[in-house]
Amino acid sequence: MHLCMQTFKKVIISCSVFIAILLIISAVVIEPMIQFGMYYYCDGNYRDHTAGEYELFFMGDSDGLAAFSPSAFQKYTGIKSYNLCGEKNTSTSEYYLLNKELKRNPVRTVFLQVGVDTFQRDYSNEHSEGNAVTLMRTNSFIERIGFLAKYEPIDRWLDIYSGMMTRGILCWERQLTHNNDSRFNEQLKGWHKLDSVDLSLNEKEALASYNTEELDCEFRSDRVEEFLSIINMCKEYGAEVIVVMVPMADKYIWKKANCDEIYDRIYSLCVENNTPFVDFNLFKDRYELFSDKYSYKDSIHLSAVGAESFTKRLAEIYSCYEIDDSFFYDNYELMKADSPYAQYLNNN
Amino acid sequence: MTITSLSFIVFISVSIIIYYVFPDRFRWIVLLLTSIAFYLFAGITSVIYIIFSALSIYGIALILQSITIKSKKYIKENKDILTKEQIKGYKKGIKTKKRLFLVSGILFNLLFLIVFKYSHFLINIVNPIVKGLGFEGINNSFSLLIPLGISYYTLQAISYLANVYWGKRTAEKNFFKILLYISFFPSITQGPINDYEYLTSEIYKPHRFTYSTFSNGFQRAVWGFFKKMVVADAISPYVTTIFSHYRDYSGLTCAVGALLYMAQLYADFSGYMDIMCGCCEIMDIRLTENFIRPYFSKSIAELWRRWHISLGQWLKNYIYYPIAVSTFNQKLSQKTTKVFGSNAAGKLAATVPLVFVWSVVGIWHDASWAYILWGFGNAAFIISAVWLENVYNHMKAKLHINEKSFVFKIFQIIRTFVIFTVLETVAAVASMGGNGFSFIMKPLLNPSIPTSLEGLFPSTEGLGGQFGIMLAIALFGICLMFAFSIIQRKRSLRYIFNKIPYFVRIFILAVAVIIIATSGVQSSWGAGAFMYANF
Repeated sequence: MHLCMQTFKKVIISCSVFIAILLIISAVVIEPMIQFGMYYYCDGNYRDHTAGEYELFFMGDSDGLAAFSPSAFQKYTGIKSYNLCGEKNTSTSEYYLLNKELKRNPVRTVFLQVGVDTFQRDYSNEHSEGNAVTLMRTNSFIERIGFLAKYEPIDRWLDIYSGMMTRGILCWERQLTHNNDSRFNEQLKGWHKLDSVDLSLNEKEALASYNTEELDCEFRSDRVEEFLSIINMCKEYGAEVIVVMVPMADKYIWKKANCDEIYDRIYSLCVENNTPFVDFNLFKDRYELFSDKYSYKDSIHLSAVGAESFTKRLAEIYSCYEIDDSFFYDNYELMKADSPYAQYLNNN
Repeated sequence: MTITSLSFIVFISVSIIIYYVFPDRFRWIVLLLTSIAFYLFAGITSVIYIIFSALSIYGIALILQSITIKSKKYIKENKDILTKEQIKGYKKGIKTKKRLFLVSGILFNLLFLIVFKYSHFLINIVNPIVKGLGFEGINNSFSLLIPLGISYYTLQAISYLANVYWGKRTAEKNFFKILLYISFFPSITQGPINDYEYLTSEIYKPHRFTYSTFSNGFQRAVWGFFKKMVVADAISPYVTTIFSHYRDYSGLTCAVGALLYMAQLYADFSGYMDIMCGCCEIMDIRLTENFIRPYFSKSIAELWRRWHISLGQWLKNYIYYPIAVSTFNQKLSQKTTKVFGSNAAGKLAATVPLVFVWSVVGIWHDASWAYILWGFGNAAFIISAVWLENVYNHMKAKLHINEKSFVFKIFQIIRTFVIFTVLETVAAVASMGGNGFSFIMKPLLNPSIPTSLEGLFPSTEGLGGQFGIMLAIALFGICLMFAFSIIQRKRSLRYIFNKIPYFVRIFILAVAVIIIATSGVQSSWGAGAFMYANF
């Protein structure tokens, strides 16, 4: 018995030392990234300090993260806002973060950004990347454990750990090579500023890619339910929700044959729930406002230039800019008919 | 619940704690309940089939034993009354009766295996014949969920029945101990295929919880996770890309893909073994070793004595020897001796059971012509070595080759590795729908060297990217595996590792776990399940 207790003690001590070393190494890798805001969405501390200042939130995934500039919005409207979007944000993350912020900072309006795949995403294929980002946006260890315990099944904890460690290592690499472009910048208020890349198609590319792909239109019932729960939660806090789809590159829309199906489904969902929906792709002046040449970083993410245009238009709408249906194309096919690439089709 | 998931780690940790909380005499019950719980994660139907299998061998073994006891008693009681011919006839009748029960038990267990694993394959063979006769083909579009571990526990069931039939062991009277033998969860998905005597001797012996069993078992499990998740899973997407699109790549890229596949195969399979052997060692249970540095073998025959050792033992005991000593083989040997002499007869007597063994090995690995041919390929090399032994000896003498020289041994090892690589990659490429033979010819027909690392390691997104880093870590892991194999020739790795200072040892293990949890987890996203679990 005495020998057994001695063995047991030795095992406990070894396990404790092992776990302590594990935690220390993990903390060294991950914590500086979170504490010093080494990623544009590691903003937990900053949001804590500035809670109560905001009148509007913008929530969504990476599309919204790149699209909405709070400083530009304040310039045009005088309203202080925050971009709560995150890379690969899941409905869980959106609900969690919005709930936390609205609790301590009730606002008048929440812009809820949706993408062409918001309702089709299968989170099990994404290996908890979105929720790993959300964990980095919490700013206490207890909060992180609470989030994991409540929202993530145990089998995905390793996925999240892996994601956080990888980002932590990348952060250290950037620090050591003095490449700090991913450091959190308080001035940007959550916005991720991206460079412009010329995405323009030439004639050959345009002709070869027109309506060659189809978007997945199978809306998952769990995604729809989660979306509606976010809207209801915001309304419970007294916030008006406006659902928006941010502009996508012409070259992306050009090759998708069934954008209208996605649009119709999102529109119906919003109408059923008395929620306004504005698709910025369908504005009749979209080809002037958003150009493949300089408005995008890639097919679905606006560059800083594109974000300025988008935020300005958003501000105009919000400030009771008088808009009606005449400002919009009826559908994506009519929109594509006015695309700069349509000339190639017409010529051929 | 996969072995490389956090839920399995929690499951096994809780199981080990409960195991040691209970007194020694009840620990087998804890193992049984743990095994059933493990099965339940795979679905209730898996549990049902394994219970059927256990019931069948339990019942039939008791019947076989009862027949044996009764027949012996009868002969003993009546030996003064019965003539020699009558006793001989009686014994023959008893043997026939026992054989009937044995065959029934084997067929019952094989039936499940055949239905779940081979029905599509058999229907694909039969359908052309059926259609040729003018009938409608059999519907082959149904899907069947293969019960977890059926390939492994079926072999275990057959071995138990055979041993009771041969009188090598008595039938177990406790059904739950049979159920534990069949369902023992550490070996159910990828082996080892346990011998009843050995496994029960390990399960029912007194177990002591010592620091060394805990730390040694833990180290081994960590090494197993490293091999599987950091090495095998990181390599898997590259191998799949190269094997699936080999026509687009150079011969050198295909050769690299083949080498990486061999590393993946070994790391995947032996990694699983290390995880399970490590977990069992913590419980003071030693599983049979399934690998002994197989890539250092000097012949294909030796390789199969070092690779998947438990399968080789099973085949030797339950297919090779029974056929070798069968009346048919003995008569064939006698006839051959008269015509070709005793040397040829001996070789033929070894060849016939080998053909059967390798047919079974091929079909057991996969229900496909690719693996049946793979089995025959292995058999061809082993059988040719038997028949050409004198020729080889003569050549070595003529060329004054010293068999014991280091250079010759290296030559043998490389030769064996190349042959095994060719056999494995042909089968693997064919099972992915490609032409395995044109794959292995590529290095000869297209010896061009890719101009970029992307050409040599496709889908790496550049070696500076994340996936390239995971591949680099995997290649480092392969170097570690190779180095450890060399070291293990002379010395136990465990002995060397345990000589390292305590805190340094724990630090190394913690770093290994972090690498597994970071790089290994992401590698496993792109990889499939354990490769041999598919068999």
